[in-house]
Formats: sequence, structure tokens, C-alpha cells
Amino acid sequence: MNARAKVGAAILAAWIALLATGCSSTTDTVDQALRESSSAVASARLALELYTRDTATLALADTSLGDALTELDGAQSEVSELEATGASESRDKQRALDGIRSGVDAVGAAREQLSNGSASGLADAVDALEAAQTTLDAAGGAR
Amino acid sequence: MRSHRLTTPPPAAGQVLDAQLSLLDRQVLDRTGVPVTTVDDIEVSDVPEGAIPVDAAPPVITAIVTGPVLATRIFGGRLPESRYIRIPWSDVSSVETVVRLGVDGEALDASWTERWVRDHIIRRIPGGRHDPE
Amino acid sequence: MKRLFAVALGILTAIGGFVDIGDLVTNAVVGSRFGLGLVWVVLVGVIGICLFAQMSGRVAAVSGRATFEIIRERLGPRAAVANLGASFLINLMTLTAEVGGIALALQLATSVEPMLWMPLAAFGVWIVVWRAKFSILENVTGLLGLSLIVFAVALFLLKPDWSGLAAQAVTPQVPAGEESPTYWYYAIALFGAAMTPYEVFFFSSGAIEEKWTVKDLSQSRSNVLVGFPLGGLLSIAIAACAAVVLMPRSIDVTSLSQVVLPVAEAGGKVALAFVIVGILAATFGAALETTLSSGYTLAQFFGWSWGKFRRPVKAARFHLTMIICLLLGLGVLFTGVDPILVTEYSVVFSAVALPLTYLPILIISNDPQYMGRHVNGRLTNGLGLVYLGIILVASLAAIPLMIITGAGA
Repeated sequence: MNARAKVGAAILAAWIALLATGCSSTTDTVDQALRESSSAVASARLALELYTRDTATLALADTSLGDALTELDGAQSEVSELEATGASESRDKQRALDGIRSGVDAVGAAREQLSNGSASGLADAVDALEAAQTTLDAAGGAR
Repeated sequence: MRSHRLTTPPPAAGQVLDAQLSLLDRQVLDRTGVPVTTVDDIEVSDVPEGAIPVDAAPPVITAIVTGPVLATRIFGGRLPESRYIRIPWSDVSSVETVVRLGVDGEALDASWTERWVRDHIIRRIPGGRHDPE
Repeated sequence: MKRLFAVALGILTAIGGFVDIGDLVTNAVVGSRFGLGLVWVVLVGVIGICLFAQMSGRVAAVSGRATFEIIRERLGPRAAVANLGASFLINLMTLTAEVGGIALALQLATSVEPMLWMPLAAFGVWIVVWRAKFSILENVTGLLGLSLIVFAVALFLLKPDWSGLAAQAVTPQVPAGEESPTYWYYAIALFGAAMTPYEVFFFSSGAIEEKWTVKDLSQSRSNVLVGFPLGGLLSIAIAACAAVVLMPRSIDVTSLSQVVLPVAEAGGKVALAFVIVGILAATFGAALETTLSSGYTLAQFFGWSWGKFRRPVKAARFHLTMIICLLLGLGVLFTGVDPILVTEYSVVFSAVALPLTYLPILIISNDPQYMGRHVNGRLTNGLGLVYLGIILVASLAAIPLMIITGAGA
């Protein structure tokens, strides 16, 4: 091969190697999903707190909760599509799914409260979100 | 081997241009200053095959060519002559940083696409004929 | 007095017009994940865009020709077509992101689904491009974009730990929970967001639209050299707000609603109103600019009649191009893709395309045939070469980093 072809082949090989490193493992995906979920629940909580303090509009709170729910749904699909090999991976996967599930429930309930709830209902929703966040952090930390 | 140097060319009347540097890829504006197209290629009259006789007339530019010929300039190849869109060189009035024509763009083949889009699409959308406000 | 007004208008428009959806999202993401550790990239990017916007404005004012016309004349159709291909596609991606951004901002105000707003947003952009005068279009969106100053105001209201923020900025560190490759990936993304390639084409074509001459050069210089850095400060304020409010709560920005939460916390509903107006103006203005740029690039390459100063029937293919581009952007948005995702990809791909877009400007602004005695000075050329190096490194590293970090996950 002439020099040019050699350089081209080297670059191609480097790119293929990079592509290989870009593939993530099961642990990485679960980590990522938990991080996304935790972030989503935290934003939902912040948005709701701001709303109860009357520093955010209903539109903003509703949009924030909607965005958080979309994020959680995405994380949920990512984790449920994982193929867990072995007992510890299955445990991780299940724990993560449970954590994300609690987040989805809390944000969903919060959205309900926004449209037809009372002040106490909103306060409960904030607590539920806090609890969901703790569950998620536990699922992440237990690994 | 002795190297042969080219003799200096005979002096020419009028403007002397390097076609590649100063003519190709230039904007073509019509008489009113409205852009028509770019000089995608130039058509030059035939150069006789084989040995060129001493008293042969030099080739002349017969037309500016535009349209699909741009693709062949970028990627190579040759278009059949019927596909050339020509602006006859006699329409050109001056060559500066842009090529100015002495005629209106309306009459030219080269502005056909512009006229078609204008008449069949833009004219049909309300407000197209007005100046921006 | 009138002169002072014109100068002020130019500067204010430059500040308000600096930020677009790419800057908004990227700065907020970076602030929420890396604090102020990437502020230096904003500074590098602002100097770069000042340098190149100045060059392209000067080229247009002195030569009376717009960028793409000169690129084709000077560098030949092959180089120009490569440039055109890359620029046009990136432009289209950015256009899509901006129109999506308009819809997202409207959702923040009304809670109505963004997809319902998208056709309205695209139509709104088109009607302004169709009918409004160039200078009005620029001035209105630029001035309304100044609303984004509320990010700076919010930052002060939040009473942050200033020395802590300064420490983050001056001695950047990769925070726990993040990795080095991700840091550099976002550095490139932020760089691409600041150096927005369409700015070059828009700036130089705009100079022709407004019929600048050599006399207007000093005005354009002050617009750029004062306006853009102040716009850069706004970007930093966006990142700082995210760093102060979102980072401690471990919130990673993935949607526009998260970007404005800090402003709501700081200043309540009034501040929120200002920021939504600001975001709307910034994204709408940027959508106008990218739409016009798509028309400019194609028309200037092929030699079509172009310009907002001409009525549409006199620049038919120019307007048709813009209509088609808006429809294409709308089509992409209708597939349901998240506009924030489109934004994040558009800034990275902008960084990839930067060498193709900026190298011609550097070459042409040195060409005495077009520039006469206004060719680049030594300092400009020195800086230009340094930046060309930076741009090349960023461009080459962008895709590998994207693959390694999974697009910044």
C-alpha cells in the first residue's frame, strides 16, 4: 500500500476502535438512567416548590412536570430493555426500575394535584417527590 | 536537449483577461444590475485538429454557458450540447469584477428557472409583488 | 444625537441577537453539570466570533460582494460546493432547532403542546421574511432579546457565593460524577454554540442588504466589539444561574423549562415573563437569521438574484429556497424529535463544520483584489491563524468525543 492508503487505514482503524469503546455496559446504562431519573424528580420538586411559593406560573410548573415525566419514561424504557445476565445484574435492574417507577408515580400524582388540587395536596406531592428521590439515590448508591 | 521557449504573444487591442481568474465563476448581471447567473463555463469556437496552421484565426469566445454544465465542471464529464444554456457573448457589454450584460435578464434563456419559479409559485403567494415594509 | 442613537441601536441589537437556542441550552447544560468550569470556552468563542464577524463585515463593506459569491470566485466551484454543502446542512439543522425553540418557549408561556405551536412558529418566521424590512426585523428582535438580561439580574438576586463562582471559572475542574472526555465534549459544543457559522454569512449578506460602505466600517466594528462580548456575558449569566440553582440539586438540564427555573426562583413571575419574552425574541431572531442564511448561501453560490431589499418577485428562487427550508425544518420537527436534542447536535456539528466556513473568510480578507488597502492587519492575521488552529482541533475532536461520551451522556 502506498503512504496515503496506509494513513487512511490507520484512521479507519482508530475510528472503529473508538466506536467499540463507545458501546456501554449494563452497569453504565443503569447508572445513566438513574442519574437522569434523579435529575428529573429533582426538577419536578423544584418546579412544584416554586409554584407553591407563587414564584412560578402554572404553565411553567405544568411544563416542567411534563418534561420530567418524559425524561422518566425514557429512563424507564432504557432500563427495561436491558438484558440482565446473572443475579446481581437482575437485582440492579429491578431496583432501578422500582426507583424510576416511584418517580413516575410521584410526578404523575403531582401533575394531578396541579390541575385540581389543594395547597395540602401540593405539599403532599412535594413530599412524595422527595421520597422518590431518596429511593432513586438509594438504588444508585447501593451499587 | 535544447529547451524551446515560447515567443511573447502579439499585442492585443482591448482588455486582456485570464479566463480562469477573471471570467469563470463570476456573477453575471443584466442591464439593470439584477443578477442572472454565474459564469459556469465558457464556450469557445473550435480549435482545428492536428497541427495548427500558422495563419489560423484564434478561437473566440462564443457564449457564456450556465445550467447543468456546473455539475460537469465540479465532477467532470461532458454534457451533450443540447443541454447547454447559453448567453451569447454578443450580449456582454463589459467585464469587470462582475460580467455586465447589455440586455435585460427577462429575454434570456438563462433566466428561465427564475421566471418559472416567479410566475408559478411566488406570484401566487399574496404579497409577493410588494416591496418589503 | 441621531448618530448616538444609531450607535446604541447597533450595539443593543448585537447584544440581544447574540444568544440563540444553542447558547441557551448549551450554557445551561454546562452550568448545571460543570458549574462555571467552562467559562473560558465562552471567552475564547466570543473573541473568535468577533474576529470573524469583523472580517466578513469588512469584506462585504469594502468589496460590495457577499461571502459566498467571493468564495466561489476566489476558491473555485469545487471548494465552494464543499463549503456550501456543509454550511447548508448545518444551517438547516440550526434552523430546525430554532423553530423548535420558538415552540418550546411558547409552551413555557401557555402550557400548550409544542407541536401545536410549531406550524405557527414556522409560519411566523416565513411571514416576517416575506414582508418585513431587513432593518426592522433585525432591530425588533435584537431589542426584545435584551430581555435576557434578566438572567444577569436573577444571578444577583440569588446572592451566590461570588468567590466560589470565580474559583470555578478561573481554576476549572471536572466535578465528581463527570468525566474528562465529557468535559471536553461540552467544551467543543459550547465553542460551536458561540461561533455559530451562519453568523458569518448572515453578517456579510446583511452588510449588503443595508448597503454598507467603507464609512460604515467603524460602526460595524463597535457593534461587534462591544455588542458580542456583552452578549457573551449573558451566556455566562445563563450558565451561572444554572450552576447556582440547579447544580447543587443535581439537576442536569435536558429541557427548556429547567433553564428558566433559576430565574423564577430569583425573581418570581415578573422575571419569568421577561425571560420568556427574551427567549422568544432570541429564538425567533435566530430563526429569521438561519432562514435568510439558507437563502443567501444557495443564491450567492448559483448567482441567483437575492436580497430582502428586492421584492419577492424579483428574487423568486431566493424566497423559494427559504420556504422549502422552513418546510423541511417543520417536517423534521413533526417527526416528534426533541428540539433540545436537535439543538445539542446542531452545536456540535457546527463545530465540525467551522474550518470549512471560516478558512475562506480568512483567505478572502487577505486578498488585495477585493479588499484594496483594507486587507487584514498583522494582528488580525495572527489571531486568525491561531483561531484556525483551534477550530481545526475542535473540528477533528468533535465526532470521536461524541462517540466516546455517547453525545455527552
